[in-house]
Amino acid sequence: MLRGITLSMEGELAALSLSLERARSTPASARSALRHALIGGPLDQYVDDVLLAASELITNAVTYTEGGCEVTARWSTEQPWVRIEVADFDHTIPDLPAPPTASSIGGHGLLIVTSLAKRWGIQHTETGKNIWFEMGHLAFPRLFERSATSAAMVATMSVRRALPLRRRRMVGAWCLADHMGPIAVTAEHGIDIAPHPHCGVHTLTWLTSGEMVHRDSLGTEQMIRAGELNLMTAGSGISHSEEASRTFSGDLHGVQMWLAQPEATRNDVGAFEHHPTPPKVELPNGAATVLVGDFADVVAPARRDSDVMGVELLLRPGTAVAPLRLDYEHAIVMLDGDVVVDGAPFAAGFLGYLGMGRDELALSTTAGARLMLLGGAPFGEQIHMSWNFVGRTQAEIEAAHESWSHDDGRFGRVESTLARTPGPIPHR
Amino acid sequence: MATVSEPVAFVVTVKATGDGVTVWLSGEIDLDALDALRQACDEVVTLQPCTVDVDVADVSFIDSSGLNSLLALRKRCAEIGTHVRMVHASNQVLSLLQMTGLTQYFVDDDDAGRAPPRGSAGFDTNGAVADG
Repeated sequence: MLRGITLSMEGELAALSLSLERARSTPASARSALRHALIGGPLDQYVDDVLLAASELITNAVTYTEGGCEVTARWSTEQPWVRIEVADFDHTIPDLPAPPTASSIGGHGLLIVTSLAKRWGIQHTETGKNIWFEMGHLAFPRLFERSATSAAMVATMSVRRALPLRRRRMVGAWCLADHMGPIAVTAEHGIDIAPHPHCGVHTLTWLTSGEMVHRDSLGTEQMIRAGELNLMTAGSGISHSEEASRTFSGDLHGVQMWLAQPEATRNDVGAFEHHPTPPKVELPNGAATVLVGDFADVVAPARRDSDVMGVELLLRPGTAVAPLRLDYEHAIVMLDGDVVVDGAPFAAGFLGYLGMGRDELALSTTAGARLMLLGGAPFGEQIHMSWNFVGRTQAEIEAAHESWSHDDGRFGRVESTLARTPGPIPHR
Repeated sequence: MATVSEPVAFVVTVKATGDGVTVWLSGEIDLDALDALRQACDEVVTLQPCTVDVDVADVSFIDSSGLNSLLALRKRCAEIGTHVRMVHASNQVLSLLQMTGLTQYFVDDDDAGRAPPRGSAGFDTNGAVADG
Protein backbone atom coordinates (compact mmCIF):
# COMPACT_ATOMS: atom_id res chain seq x y z
CA MET A 1 0.00 0.00 0.00
CA LEU A 2 1.60 3.27 1.08
CA ARG A 3 5.39 3.26 1.27
CA GLY A 4 5.64 6.95 2.04
CA ILE A 5 3.77 10.22 2.01
CA THR A 6 4.93 13.85 2.00
CA LEU A 7 2.97 17.08 1.90
CA SER A 8 4.45 20.47 1.08
CA MET A 9 3.15 23.99 0.54
CA GLU A 10 4.53 26.81 -1.57
CA GLY A 11 2.31 29.88 -1.53
CA GLU A 12 -1.14 28.73 -2.57
CA LEU A 13 0.20 25.60 -4.22
CA ALA A 14 0.23 22.37 -2.27
CA ALA A 15 1.88 19.12 -3.23
CA LEU A 16 1.32 15.60 -1.95
CA SER A 17 3.65 12.75 -2.87
CA LEU A 18 2.68 9.14 -2.37
CA SER A 19 5.05 6.26 -2.78
CA LEU A 20 2.93 3.20 -3.49
CA GLU A 21 3.78 -0.46 -3.57
CA ARG A 22 2.33 -2.97 -5.97
CA ALA A 23 -0.81 -4.37 -4.35
CA ARG A 24 -4.50 -4.69 -5.17
CA SER A 25 -5.36 -2.48 -2.22
CA THR A 26 -3.09 0.31 -3.51
CA PRO A 27 -5.67 2.24 -5.59
CA ALA A 28 -8.01 2.47 -2.58
CA SER A 29 -5.20 3.62 -0.26
CA ALA A 30 -4.15 6.28 -2.74
CA ARG A 31 -7.74 7.49 -3.26
CA SER A 32 -8.19 7.76 0.48
CA ALA A 33 -5.03 9.88 0.86
CA LEU A 34 -5.95 12.07 -2.10
CA ARG A 35 -9.52 12.52 -0.90
CA HIS A 36 -8.37 13.68 2.53
CA ALA A 37 -5.97 16.16 0.96
CA LEU A 38 -8.36 17.59 -1.64
CA ILE A 39 -11.79 17.58 -0.03
CA GLY A 40 -13.16 20.72 1.58
CA GLY A 41 -11.31 23.15 -0.70
CA PRO A 42 -11.95 24.88 -4.01
CA LEU A 43 -11.59 21.53 -5.77
CA ASP A 44 -14.74 19.97 -4.32
CA GLN A 45 -16.57 19.91 -7.64
CA TYR A 46 -13.68 17.96 -9.20
CA VAL A 47 -12.80 15.56 -6.40
CA ASP A 48 -14.90 12.63 -7.66
CA ASP A 49 -13.46 12.96 -11.15
CA VAL A 50 -9.90 13.34 -9.82
CA LEU A 51 -10.24 10.22 -7.68
CA LEU A 52 -11.68 8.21 -10.57
CA ALA A 53 -9.00 9.27 -13.06
CA ALA A 54 -6.22 8.78 -10.49
CA SER A 55 -7.64 5.38 -9.58
CA GLU A 56 -7.50 4.34 -13.25
CA LEU A 57 -3.84 5.35 -13.66
CA ILE A 58 -2.76 3.78 -10.37
CA THR A 59 -4.67 0.59 -11.19
CA ASN A 60 -2.87 0.42 -14.54
CA ALA A 61 0.48 0.91 -12.82
CA VAL A 62 -0.05 -1.84 -10.27
CA THR A 63 -1.68 -4.18 -12.81
CA TYR A 64 0.72 -3.87 -15.73
CA THR A 65 4.04 -2.81 -14.18
CA GLU A 66 6.31 -3.92 -11.36
CA GLY A 67 7.85 -1.81 -8.66
CA GLY A 68 4.76 0.12 -7.64
CA CYS A 69 4.39 3.77 -8.52
CA GLU A 70 4.99 7.31 -7.32
CA VAL A 71 1.95 9.58 -7.29
CA THR A 72 2.25 13.35 -7.05
CA ALA A 73 -0.74 15.63 -6.63
CA ARG A 74 -0.34 19.38 -6.95
CA TRP A 75 -3.25 21.67 -6.34
CA SER A 76 -4.17 25.19 -5.40
CA THR A 77 -5.69 25.89 -2.01
CA GLU A 78 -7.32 29.01 -3.51
CA GLN A 79 -8.40 28.02 -7.01
CA PRO A 80 -10.03 24.94 -8.52
CA TRP A 81 -6.98 23.35 -10.14
CA VAL A 82 -5.19 20.05 -9.68
CA ARG A 83 -2.47 18.14 -11.47
CA ILE A 84 -1.91 14.46 -10.80
CA GLU A 85 1.16 12.54 -11.97
CA VAL A 86 1.53 8.78 -11.77
CA ALA A 87 5.11 7.65 -12.41
CA ASP A 88 5.92 3.97 -12.79
CA PHE A 89 9.04 1.96 -13.50
CA ASP A 90 8.15 0.56 -16.90
CA HIS A 91 8.99 2.17 -20.23
CA THR A 92 6.08 0.58 -22.11
CA ILE A 93 3.73 3.26 -23.32
CA PRO A 94 0.09 2.11 -23.19
CA ASP A 95 -2.03 2.04 -26.33
CA LEU A 96 -3.90 5.26 -26.75
CA PRO A 97 -7.55 4.87 -25.96
CA ALA A 98 -9.82 3.68 -28.73
CA PRO A 99 -13.31 5.14 -29.10
CA PRO A 100 -15.75 3.43 -26.76
CA THR A 101 -17.00 0.25 -28.42
CA ALA A 102 -15.86 -2.23 -25.87
CA SER A 103 -17.69 -5.31 -24.98
CA SER A 104 -14.17 -6.56 -24.42
CA ILE A 105 -12.84 -6.53 -20.88
CA GLY A 106 -10.16 -4.03 -19.96
CA GLY A 107 -8.50 -1.07 -21.63
CA HIS A 108 -10.93 1.54 -20.35
CA GLY A 109 -8.66 3.23 -17.84
CA LEU A 110 -6.90 5.73 -20.08
CA LEU A 111 -10.14 6.38 -21.95
CA ILE A 112 -11.72 7.51 -18.69
CA VAL A 113 -8.75 9.75 -17.91
CA THR A 114 -8.93 11.40 -21.33
CA SER A 115 -12.69 11.89 -20.99
CA LEU A 116 -12.42 13.56 -17.59
CA ALA A 117 -9.18 15.55 -17.82
CA LYS A 118 -8.77 19.01 -19.26
CA ARG A 119 -5.17 18.25 -20.26
CA TRP A 120 -3.19 15.05 -20.02
CA GLY A 121 0.01 13.54 -21.31
CA ILE A 122 2.62 10.81 -21.11
CA GLN A 123 6.31 11.45 -20.53
CA HIS A 124 9.16 9.01 -20.95
CA THR A 125 11.38 9.25 -17.90
CA GLU A 126 14.74 7.70 -17.14
CA THR A 127 13.13 5.09 -14.91
CA GLY A 128 9.91 4.49 -16.80
CA LYS A 129 7.06 6.80 -17.65
CA ASN A 130 4.96 9.48 -16.08
CA ILE A 131 1.28 9.86 -16.96
CA TRP A 132 -0.27 13.14 -15.85
CA PHE A 133 -3.57 14.96 -16.06
CA GLU A 134 -4.96 18.30 -14.98
CA MET A 135 -8.46 19.40 -14.08
CA GLY A 136 -9.80 22.87 -13.45
CA HIS A 137 -7.89 26.02 -14.17
CA LEU A 138 -5.30 28.21 -12.51
CA ALA A 139 -5.33 31.94 -13.06
CA PHE A 140 -2.97 34.55 -11.70
CA PRO A 141 -2.78 38.27 -12.30
CA ARG A 142 -1.32 38.25 -15.80
CA LEU A 143 2.25 39.22 -15.05
CA PHE A 144 4.36 40.50 -17.84
CA GLU A 145 7.68 42.26 -17.42
CA ARG A 146 10.00 43.29 -20.20
CA SER A 147 13.43 44.10 -18.79
CA ALA A 148 16.70 45.08 -20.41
CA THR A 149 19.54 42.81 -19.36
CA SER A 150 22.39 44.33 -17.37
CA ALA A 151 25.99 44.43 -18.57
CA ALA A 152 28.35 42.26 -16.55
CA MET A 153 31.98 41.27 -16.96
CA VAL A 154 33.05 37.64 -16.87
CA ALA A 155 36.86 37.50 -17.02
CA THR A 156 37.51 39.90 -19.91
CA MET A 157 34.22 39.20 -21.64
CA SER A 158 31.16 41.42 -21.41
CA VAL A 159 27.90 39.45 -21.07
CA ARG A 160 24.20 40.37 -21.08
CA ARG A 161 22.96 39.35 -17.64
CA ALA A 162 19.27 38.45 -17.82
CA LEU A 163 19.18 37.07 -14.27
CA PRO A 164 19.46 38.29 -11.63
CA LEU A 165 18.05 41.74 -12.38
CA ARG A 166 17.07 44.24 -9.74
CA ARG A 167 13.35 43.54 -10.07
CA ARG A 168 13.63 39.89 -11.00
CA ARG A 169 16.09 37.84 -8.98
CA MET A 170 14.94 34.32 -9.80
CA VAL A 171 12.62 32.32 -12.05
CA GLY A 172 11.94 28.99 -10.35
CA ALA A 173 15.39 27.84 -9.25
CA TRP A 174 17.08 29.77 -12.11
CA CYS A 175 19.21 32.40 -10.38
CA LEU A 176 21.63 33.49 -13.13
CA ALA A 177 21.47 33.70 -16.91
CA ASP A 178 24.37 35.23 -18.84
CA HIS A 179 24.09 35.63 -22.59
CA MET A 180 27.63 35.60 -23.97
CA GLY A 181 28.84 36.53 -27.44
CA PRO A 182 28.92 36.21 -30.26
CA ILE A 183 32.58 36.83 -29.46
CA ALA A 184 35.56 36.00 -31.69
CA VAL A 185 37.89 33.38 -30.22
CA THR A 186 40.99 31.67 -31.53
CA ALA A 187 42.29 28.16 -31.00
CA GLU A 188 44.73 29.48 -28.40
CA HIS A 189 42.61 32.15 -26.75
CA GLY A 190 39.02 31.40 -25.88
CA ILE A 191 36.95 33.19 -23.30
CA ASP A 192 39.71 32.03 -20.92
CA ILE A 193 37.82 31.95 -17.67
CA ALA A 194 40.46 30.87 -15.16
CA PRO A 195 39.83 28.32 -12.39
CA HIS A 196 37.24 29.71 -9.99
CA PRO A 197 35.00 28.15 -7.31
CA HIS A 198 31.27 27.51 -7.00
CA CYS A 199 28.96 26.21 -4.30
CA GLY A 200 25.22 25.63 -4.02
CA VAL A 201 24.45 25.75 -7.75
CA HIS A 202 24.27 23.78 -10.95
CA THR A 203 25.94 25.64 -13.80
CA LEU A 204 24.59 24.92 -17.28
CA THR A 205 26.59 25.86 -20.34
CA TRP A 206 24.87 25.86 -23.73
CA LEU A 207 26.59 27.03 -26.89
CA THR A 208 24.82 27.93 -30.11
CA SER A 209 28.15 28.28 -31.92
CA GLY A 210 31.77 27.61 -31.13
CA GLU A 211 33.69 25.22 -28.93
CA MET A 212 35.50 25.40 -25.62
CA VAL A 213 37.00 23.13 -23.02
CA HIS A 214 35.68 22.67 -19.50
CA ARG A 215 38.08 21.53 -16.78
CA ASP A 216 37.06 20.99 -13.17
CA SER A 217 38.36 19.88 -9.79
CA LEU A 218 36.78 16.45 -10.23
CA GLY A 219 39.39 15.85 -12.93
CA THR A 220 36.93 16.36 -15.78
CA GLU A 221 38.22 17.65 -19.10
CA GLN A 222 35.32 18.01 -21.51
CA MET A 223 35.11 19.67 -24.90
CA ILE A 224 31.74 21.34 -25.38
CA ARG A 225 30.44 22.17 -28.87
CA ALA A 226 27.39 23.98 -30.13
CA GLY A 227 24.28 21.92 -29.41
CA GLU A 228 25.80 20.16 -26.40
CA LEU A 229 25.06 20.76 -22.74
CA ASN A 230 27.46 20.85 -19.82
CA LEU A 231 25.85 20.59 -16.41
CA MET A 232 28.13 20.97 -13.40
CA THR A 233 26.81 20.48 -9.88
CA ALA A 234 28.78 22.44 -7.31
CA GLY A 235 27.20 21.09 -4.13
CA SER A 236 29.43 21.94 -1.16
CA GLY A 237 32.28 23.03 -3.41
CA ILE A 238 33.88 22.64 -6.83
CA SER A 239 36.11 24.72 -9.09
CA HIS A 240 36.39 24.86 -12.87
CA SER A 241 37.77 26.73 -15.84
CA GLU A 242 36.45 27.48 -19.33
CA GLU A 243 39.25 27.54 -21.86
CA ALA A 244 40.17 27.67 -25.52
CA SER A 245 39.43 24.48 -27.44
CA ARG A 246 42.87 24.33 -29.16
CA THR A 247 41.01 23.57 -32.41
CA PHE A 248 38.22 26.09 -32.90
CA SER A 249 38.53 29.66 -34.03
CA GLY A 250 35.51 31.73 -34.92
CA ASP A 251 32.47 33.06 -33.11
CA LEU A 252 31.56 31.73 -29.68
CA HIS A 253 27.92 32.30 -28.77
CA GLY A 254 25.88 30.84 -25.96
CA VAL A 255 24.49 31.13 -22.52
CA GLN A 256 25.57 30.13 -19.05
CA MET A 257 22.83 29.66 -16.50
CA TRP A 258 22.73 28.69 -12.85
CA LEU A 259 20.15 26.73 -10.95
CA ALA A 260 20.16 27.18 -7.18
CA GLN A 261 20.35 23.80 -5.50
CA PRO A 262 17.65 23.13 -2.92
CA GLU A 263 18.46 22.55 0.73
CA ALA A 264 18.21 18.79 0.18
CA THR A 265 21.19 18.62 -2.21
CA ARG A 266 23.19 21.82 -1.85
CA ASN A 267 25.74 20.24 0.48
CA ASP A 268 26.23 17.11 -1.64
CA VAL A 269 29.52 16.41 -3.38
CA GLY A 270 30.16 18.01 -6.77
CA ALA A 271 29.34 16.29 -10.05
CA PHE A 272 29.60 16.86 -13.77
CA GLU A 273 27.42 15.77 -16.71
CA HIS A 274 27.93 16.24 -20.43
CA HIS A 275 24.92 15.73 -22.69
CA PRO A 276 25.95 15.58 -26.35
CA THR A 277 22.43 15.38 -27.75
CA PRO A 278 19.69 16.85 -25.56
CA PRO A 279 16.25 15.74 -26.82
CA LYS A 280 14.40 17.86 -29.36
CA VAL A 281 10.70 18.63 -29.86
CA GLU A 282 9.26 19.84 -33.16
CA LEU A 283 6.79 22.70 -32.90
CA PRO A 284 4.79 24.40 -35.63
CA ASN A 285 7.24 27.02 -36.94
CA GLY A 286 10.05 25.94 -34.69
CA ALA A 287 11.93 23.38 -32.66
CA ALA A 288 12.75 23.11 -28.99
CA THR A 289 15.83 21.51 -27.44
CA VAL A 290 15.02 20.31 -23.95
CA LEU A 291 18.04 20.99 -21.74
CA VAL A 292 16.58 20.31 -18.33
CA GLY A 293 13.21 19.20 -16.99
CA ASP A 294 10.33 18.47 -19.33
CA PHE A 295 8.66 20.27 -22.19
CA ALA A 296 5.78 19.03 -24.34
CA ASP A 297 6.09 15.66 -22.56
CA VAL A 298 9.74 15.22 -23.55
CA VAL A 299 11.97 14.81 -20.51
CA ALA A 300 15.64 15.82 -20.59
CA PRO A 301 18.07 13.28 -19.11
CA ALA A 302 19.99 16.03 -17.29
CA ARG A 303 19.96 16.03 -13.52
CA ARG A 304 17.51 18.38 -11.86
CA ASP A 305 17.18 18.84 -8.15
CA SER A 306 14.05 20.97 -8.17
CA ASP A 307 10.94 21.52 -10.26
CA VAL A 308 12.41 23.39 -13.25
CA MET A 309 12.53 23.32 -17.00
CA GLY A 310 14.80 24.98 -19.54
CA VAL A 311 14.60 24.75 -23.33
CA GLU A 312 16.12 26.52 -26.28
CA LEU A 313 13.53 27.59 -28.83
CA LEU A 314 14.66 28.02 -32.43
CA LEU A 315 11.83 29.69 -34.29
CA ARG A 316 11.14 30.03 -37.99
CA PRO A 317 9.21 33.04 -39.29
CA GLY A 318 5.59 32.83 -38.15
CA THR A 319 3.94 32.03 -34.87
CA ALA A 320 4.92 29.19 -32.57
CA VAL A 321 2.96 28.13 -29.54
CA ALA A 322 4.88 26.60 -26.64
CA PRO A 323 2.95 24.55 -24.07
CA LEU A 324 3.59 25.73 -20.52
CA ARG A 325 2.89 24.33 -17.09
CA LEU A 326 0.26 26.30 -15.21
CA ASP A 327 2.03 25.91 -11.89
CA TYR A 328 5.43 27.13 -13.13
CA GLU A 329 6.56 30.71 -13.50
CA HIS A 330 8.30 31.27 -16.86
CA ALA A 331 10.65 33.71 -18.53
CA ILE A 332 12.27 34.12 -21.93
CA VAL A 333 15.87 35.16 -22.52
CA MET A 334 16.49 36.34 -26.07
CA LEU A 335 19.65 35.15 -27.83
CA ASP A 336 19.07 36.05 -31.47
CA GLY A 337 16.44 37.52 -33.79
CA ASP A 338 13.20 39.08 -32.66
CA VAL A 339 9.92 37.87 -31.23
CA VAL A 340 6.67 39.47 -30.18
CA VAL A 341 5.12 38.18 -26.96
CA ASP A 342 1.88 39.61 -25.56
CA GLY A 343 2.24 42.44 -28.07
CA ALA A 344 5.71 43.45 -26.86
CA PRO A 345 8.83 43.17 -29.04
CA PHE A 346 11.90 41.30 -27.80
CA ALA A 347 15.43 41.09 -29.15
CA ALA A 348 18.81 40.05 -27.73
CA GLY A 349 19.42 41.94 -24.51
CA PHE A 350 15.95 41.46 -23.06
CA LEU A 351 14.34 39.27 -20.45
CA GLY A 352 10.60 38.67 -20.54
CA TYR A 353 9.04 37.49 -17.30
CA LEU A 354 5.68 35.77 -17.74
CA GLY A 355 4.56 34.80 -14.23
CA MET A 356 2.47 31.75 -13.42
CA GLY A 357 -0.90 30.47 -14.57
CA ARG A 358 -0.24 30.30 -18.31
CA ASP A 359 -0.76 27.04 -20.15
CA GLU A 360 0.80 28.21 -23.40
CA LEU A 361 2.90 30.97 -24.88
CA ALA A 362 2.49 32.34 -28.41
CA LEU A 363 5.69 33.69 -29.95
CA SER A 364 5.63 35.52 -33.29
CA THR A 365 8.71 36.30 -35.31
CA THR A 366 9.19 37.89 -38.71
CA ALA A 367 12.77 36.78 -39.38
CA GLY A 368 13.23 33.87 -36.99
CA ALA A 369 14.59 33.86 -33.45
CA ARG A 370 16.58 31.91 -30.92
CA LEU A 371 15.74 32.19 -27.24
CA MET A 372 15.79 30.36 -23.94
CA LEU A 373 12.51 29.51 -22.24
CA LEU A 374 13.09 29.00 -18.52
CA GLY A 375 10.53 27.95 -15.97
CA GLY A 376 9.98 26.36 -12.62
CA ALA A 377 7.97 26.19 -9.46
CA PRO A 378 8.73 29.29 -7.38
CA PHE A 379 11.87 28.48 -5.40
CA GLY A 380 10.74 28.31 -1.80
CA GLU A 381 14.09 29.12 -0.20
CA GLN A 382 15.76 32.50 0.32
CA ILE A 383 19.20 32.45 -1.26
CA HIS A 384 22.28 34.61 -0.78
CA MET A 385 24.35 35.07 -3.94
CA SER A 386 27.82 36.56 -3.89
CA TRP A 387 30.46 36.22 -6.59
CA ASN A 388 30.31 32.54 -7.56
CA PHE A 389 28.74 31.35 -4.36
CA VAL A 390 25.13 30.58 -3.54
CA GLY A 391 24.24 29.98 0.08
CA ARG A 392 21.59 30.80 2.62
CA THR A 393 23.40 33.17 4.99
CA GLN A 394 26.10 35.83 4.78
CA ALA A 395 28.22 33.71 7.13
CA GLU A 396 28.14 30.82 4.64
CA ILE A 397 29.23 33.13 1.84
CA GLU A 398 32.09 34.51 3.95
CA ALA A 399 33.22 31.00 4.83
CA ALA A 400 33.29 30.13 1.11
CA HIS A 401 35.39 33.20 0.29
CA GLU A 402 37.70 32.27 3.14
CA SER A 403 38.14 28.71 1.88
CA TRP A 404 38.92 29.88 -1.65
CA SER A 405 41.39 32.57 -0.63
CA HIS A 406 43.21 30.15 1.70
CA ASP A 407 42.97 27.33 -0.82
CA ASP A 408 42.02 24.97 2.01
CA GLY A 409 40.95 22.16 -0.31
CA ARG A 410 37.19 22.67 -0.17
CA PHE A 411 37.05 23.67 -3.83
CA GLY A 412 39.74 21.28 -5.04
CA ARG A 413 42.21 22.00 -7.82
CA VAL A 414 41.81 22.38 -11.56
CA GLU A 415 44.53 21.15 -13.94
CA SER A 416 44.72 24.27 -16.05
CA THR A 417 47.33 26.37 -17.80
CA LEU A 418 45.39 29.42 -16.65
CA ALA A 419 46.33 30.86 -13.27
CA ARG A 420 43.80 30.33 -10.49
CA THR A 421 41.44 33.31 -10.07
CA PRO A 422 42.81 34.98 -6.95
CA GLY A 423 39.65 36.13 -5.25
CA PRO A 424 36.37 37.95 -5.51
CA ILE A 425 35.93 39.81 -8.72
CA PRO A 426 32.43 41.05 -9.50
CA HIS A 427 31.30 38.17 -11.75
CA ARG A 428 31.32 34.41 -11.94
CA MET B 1 -4.66 17.02 6.23
CA ALA B 2 -2.53 14.16 5.02
CA THR B 3 -3.60 11.54 7.51
CA VAL B 4 -4.51 8.31 5.84
CA SER B 5 -7.50 6.36 7.05
CA GLU B 6 -8.20 2.81 6.09
CA PRO B 7 -10.20 2.71 2.88
CA VAL B 8 -13.85 1.77 3.11
CA ALA B 9 -14.29 -1.95 2.87
CA PHE B 10 -16.47 -3.30 0.12
CA VAL B 11 -19.10 -5.96 0.56
CA VAL B 12 -20.36 -8.38 -2.06
CA THR B 13 -23.49 -10.36 -1.14
CA VAL B 14 -25.35 -12.89 -3.29
CA LYS B 15 -29.04 -13.36 -2.44
CA ALA B 16 -31.45 -15.74 -4.16
CA THR B 17 -34.83 -14.10 -4.80
CA GLY B 18 -37.37 -16.47 -6.35
CA ASP B 19 -36.33 -17.09 -9.98
CA GLY B 20 -33.54 -14.55 -9.81
CA VAL B 21 -30.47 -13.60 -7.89
CA THR B 22 -29.44 -10.23 -6.52
CA VAL B 23 -25.75 -9.42 -6.27
CA TRP B 24 -25.64 -6.63 -3.74
CA LEU B 25 -22.55 -4.44 -3.82
CA SER B 26 -21.52 -1.92 -1.22
CA GLY B 27 -18.52 0.38 -0.70
CA GLU B 28 -15.67 0.96 -3.14
CA ILE B 29 -15.59 -1.49 -6.03
CA ASP B 30 -12.14 -1.48 -7.60
CA LEU B 31 -9.15 -3.78 -8.21
CA ASP B 32 -9.32 -5.01 -4.63
CA ALA B 33 -12.84 -6.39 -5.18
CA LEU B 34 -11.66 -8.68 -7.99
CA ASP B 35 -11.55 -11.93 -6.00
CA ALA B 36 -14.77 -11.27 -4.11
CA LEU B 37 -16.60 -10.60 -7.37
CA ARG B 38 -15.10 -13.70 -8.98
CA GLN B 39 -16.37 -15.77 -6.05
CA ALA B 40 -19.79 -14.15 -6.28
CA CYS B 41 -19.78 -15.01 -9.96
CA ASP B 42 -19.10 -18.68 -9.17
CA GLU B 43 -22.00 -18.69 -6.70
CA VAL B 44 -24.36 -17.08 -9.19
CA VAL B 45 -23.49 -19.55 -11.93
CA THR B 46 -24.05 -22.45 -9.53
CA LEU B 47 -27.54 -21.14 -8.72
CA GLN B 48 -28.41 -20.97 -12.46
CA PRO B 49 -30.90 -18.11 -12.09
CA CYS B 50 -33.03 -16.67 -14.92
CA THR B 51 -31.97 -13.11 -14.10
CA VAL B 52 -29.30 -11.38 -12.06
CA ASP B 53 -29.78 -7.92 -10.60
CA VAL B 54 -26.56 -6.19 -9.64
CA ASP B 55 -27.69 -3.71 -7.02
CA VAL B 56 -25.24 -0.83 -6.84
CA ALA B 57 -27.30 1.50 -4.63
CA ASP B 58 -24.67 1.42 -1.88
CA VAL B 59 -21.62 1.63 -4.12
CA SER B 60 -19.71 4.76 -3.11
CA PHE B 61 -17.07 4.40 -5.81
CA ILE B 62 -16.51 2.25 -8.86
CA ASP B 63 -13.80 2.44 -11.50
CA SER B 64 -13.08 0.51 -14.67
CA SER B 65 -11.58 -2.40 -12.70
CA GLY B 66 -14.87 -2.72 -10.87
CA LEU B 67 -16.75 -2.52 -14.17
CA ASN B 68 -14.44 -5.13 -15.69
CA SER B 69 -15.35 -7.55 -12.92
CA LEU B 70 -19.02 -6.91 -13.62
CA LEU B 71 -18.41 -7.43 -17.35
CA ALA B 72 -16.82 -10.77 -16.51
CA LEU B 73 -19.91 -11.67 -14.48
CA ARG B 74 -22.12 -10.69 -17.40
CA LYS B 75 -20.09 -12.84 -19.82
CA ARG B 76 -20.24 -15.96 -17.67
CA CYS B 77 -23.96 -15.49 -17.08
CA ALA B 78 -24.54 -15.06 -20.80
CA GLU B 79 -22.97 -18.49 -21.32
CA ILE B 80 -25.73 -20.09 -19.24
CA GLY B 81 -28.45 -17.86 -20.71
CA THR B 82 -28.84 -15.60 -17.72
CA HIS B 83 -29.63 -11.91 -18.18
CA VAL B 84 -27.68 -9.45 -16.00
CA ARG B 85 -28.77 -5.91 -15.33
CA MET B 86 -27.60 -3.18 -13.02
CA VAL B 87 -30.12 -1.58 -10.70
CA HIS B 88 -30.11 1.56 -8.59
CA ALA B 89 -27.14 3.03 -10.43
CA SER B 90 -26.06 6.42 -9.12
CA ASN B 91 -25.09 9.22 -11.47
CA GLN B 92 -21.41 8.39 -10.90
CA VAL B 93 -21.96 4.82 -12.06
CA LEU B 94 -24.11 5.89 -15.01
CA SER B 95 -21.58 8.43 -16.23
CA LEU B 96 -18.76 5.91 -15.93
CA LEU B 97 -20.81 3.50 -18.07
CA GLN B 98 -21.36 6.27 -20.59
CA MET B 99 -17.68 7.18 -20.79
CA THR B 100 -16.66 3.59 -21.36
CA GLY B 101 -19.48 2.91 -23.81
CA LEU B 102 -20.80 0.09 -21.62
CA THR B 103 -24.22 1.53 -20.78
CA GLN B 104 -26.10 -0.79 -23.15
CA TYR B 105 -24.59 -3.87 -21.50
CA PHE B 106 -25.87 -3.12 -18.03
CA VAL B 107 -28.75 -0.69 -18.05
CA ASP B 108 -32.21 -1.18 -19.53
CA ASP B 109 -33.18 1.49 -22.06
CA ASP B 110 -35.53 3.46 -19.81
CA ASP B 111 -32.74 4.00 -17.26
CA ALA B 112 -29.99 4.80 -19.72
CA GLY B 113 -30.88 8.42 -20.35
CA ARG B 114 -30.53 9.37 -16.73
CA ALA B 115 -26.81 10.12 -16.63
CA PRO B 116 -26.33 13.87 -16.79
CA PRO B 117 -23.73 15.37 -19.09
CA ARG B 118 -20.26 15.76 -17.55
CA GLY B 119 -19.91 18.66 -15.20
CA SER B 120 -23.62 19.35 -14.86
CA ALA B 121 -25.15 20.35 -11.57
CA GLY B 122 -26.42 17.66 -9.26
CA PHE B 123 -23.48 15.32 -9.66
CA ASP B 124 -23.70 13.01 -6.69
CA THR B 125 -20.77 13.51 -4.36
CA ASN B 126 -22.24 11.74 -1.35
CA GLY B 127 -20.35 8.58 -2.02
CA ALA B 128 -16.97 10.26 -2.21
CA VAL B 129 -17.16 11.69 1.27
CA ALA B 130 -18.66 8.65 2.94
CA ASP B 131 -15.46 7.83 4.80
CA GLY B 132 -14.28 11.41 5.23
